[in-house]
Amino acid sequence: MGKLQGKVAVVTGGTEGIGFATAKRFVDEGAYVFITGRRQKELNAAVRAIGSNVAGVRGDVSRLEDLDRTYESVKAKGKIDVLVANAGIGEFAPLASLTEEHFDKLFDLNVKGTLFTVQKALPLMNDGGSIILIGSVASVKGTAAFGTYGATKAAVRNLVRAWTMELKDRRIRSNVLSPGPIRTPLVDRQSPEVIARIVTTIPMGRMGEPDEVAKAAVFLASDDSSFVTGIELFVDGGRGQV
Amino acid sequence: MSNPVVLITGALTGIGRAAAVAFAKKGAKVVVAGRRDEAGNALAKELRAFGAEAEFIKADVRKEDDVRALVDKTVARFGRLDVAVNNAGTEGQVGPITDQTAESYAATFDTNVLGVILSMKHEVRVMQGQGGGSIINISSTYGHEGAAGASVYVGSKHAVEGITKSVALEIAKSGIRVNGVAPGPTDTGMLTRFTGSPENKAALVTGVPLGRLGLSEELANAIVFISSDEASFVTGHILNVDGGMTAN
Repeated sequence: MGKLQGKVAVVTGGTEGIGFATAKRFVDEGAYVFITGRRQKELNAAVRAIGSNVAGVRGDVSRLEDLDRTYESVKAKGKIDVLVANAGIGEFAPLASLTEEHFDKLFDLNVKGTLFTVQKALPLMNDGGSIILIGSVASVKGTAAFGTYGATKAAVRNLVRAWTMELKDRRIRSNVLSPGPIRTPLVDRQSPEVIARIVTTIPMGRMGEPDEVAKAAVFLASDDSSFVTGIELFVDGGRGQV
Repeated sequence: MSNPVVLITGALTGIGRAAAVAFAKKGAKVVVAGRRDEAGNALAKELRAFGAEAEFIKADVRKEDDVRALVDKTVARFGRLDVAVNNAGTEGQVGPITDQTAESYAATFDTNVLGVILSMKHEVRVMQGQGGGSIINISSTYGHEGAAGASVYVGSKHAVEGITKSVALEIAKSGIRVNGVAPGPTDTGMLTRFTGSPENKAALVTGVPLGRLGLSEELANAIVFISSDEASFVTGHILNVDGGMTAN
């Protein structure tokens, strides 16, 4: 029997990369999974690729009305056992020249989007459920021109501390899952030189695969982590320990 | 790895024992180490009842000859060493700093710190030879937070976390992952001794957001996860299994 047999999960930003790998793993472990994404064509392709026990809902997590619509669709299936707030973006911009638009874009999607993704899921969540926020090792590391992104992930990391306290009476566990550099489609679009430079920062000497993050998400989603809440789990090849 | 060879120190009680049972149920070949022959042999027999291959090897982690022999005997018996859980530990002498002595320090650090260093030294020796493996050191919430009246124990567990991260970095490219698991208050004999009274134990639970003690089995599940291929990109990490205590 799968570790998530009979569970209902929502994975935002589930069309590619870590979100897609997580949704696929969850289905393999017996869950029914809703994935969200902003682009209908990519969403359809992801749903087809996963095959069964999966539904796609188009939406942008930084738009509250989209979140309402997403959860309206989820309601048809009943309650939520596992929520993975994964939708987010990264963008390089140095302090001296970054714009308000850059700042708003990252904080709207990564912080505001994550916060309201969780808030609006609460009425639908089963007591004893599991919330997983996809963070980043950037929450604890400084990288030039990556400060805004790191700040959004540090914000998310502390939200989960407060939520652990707020949701304890419902036995809802909430944790941050923080990947290091992972070979996602976003990274694949970088030049070989950039990728080589990133790899030098990873003690294990290689990038991670989306499925390696997905496997850790299964742990946090399942009863195997029944006494784990309020933590940041790094899946980073040791990057956070340097 | 379907039937890993697993070595667990301090395996006769509490979290170590629960980890031994969890690995045995998953079909691992398990070596349980401890200082008491009778309890050790009884545990090995219990593990075999799950269909697992299991051995008890007597060892005191404070003695390098014991640790060297423990690791070598494990390899002689099962051919390799895939997972090592360095769990042997002591709460030491709880009390204010003014009561601590060189002896109380040594009694705690010899097991909790020297024991982990000696264990990793010999485990890594074998794992480097075979090109991979996974080491889990058992820390504590007190490995990264302070606690009044527990300075020596807290110091020893802080040391464990620093050593864990350092060795993880040293051998990150060799296919050996090194991580820590940090339990919060867990329902074991050690916690009963550490807290000294039911009132103290209850007071500790009030600091746990999930509102209860952890179970040894829950710690064991986390140890199995981080030891396995499910955590293939996780190294140098301290996994808190503390019911949210650190978030509070």
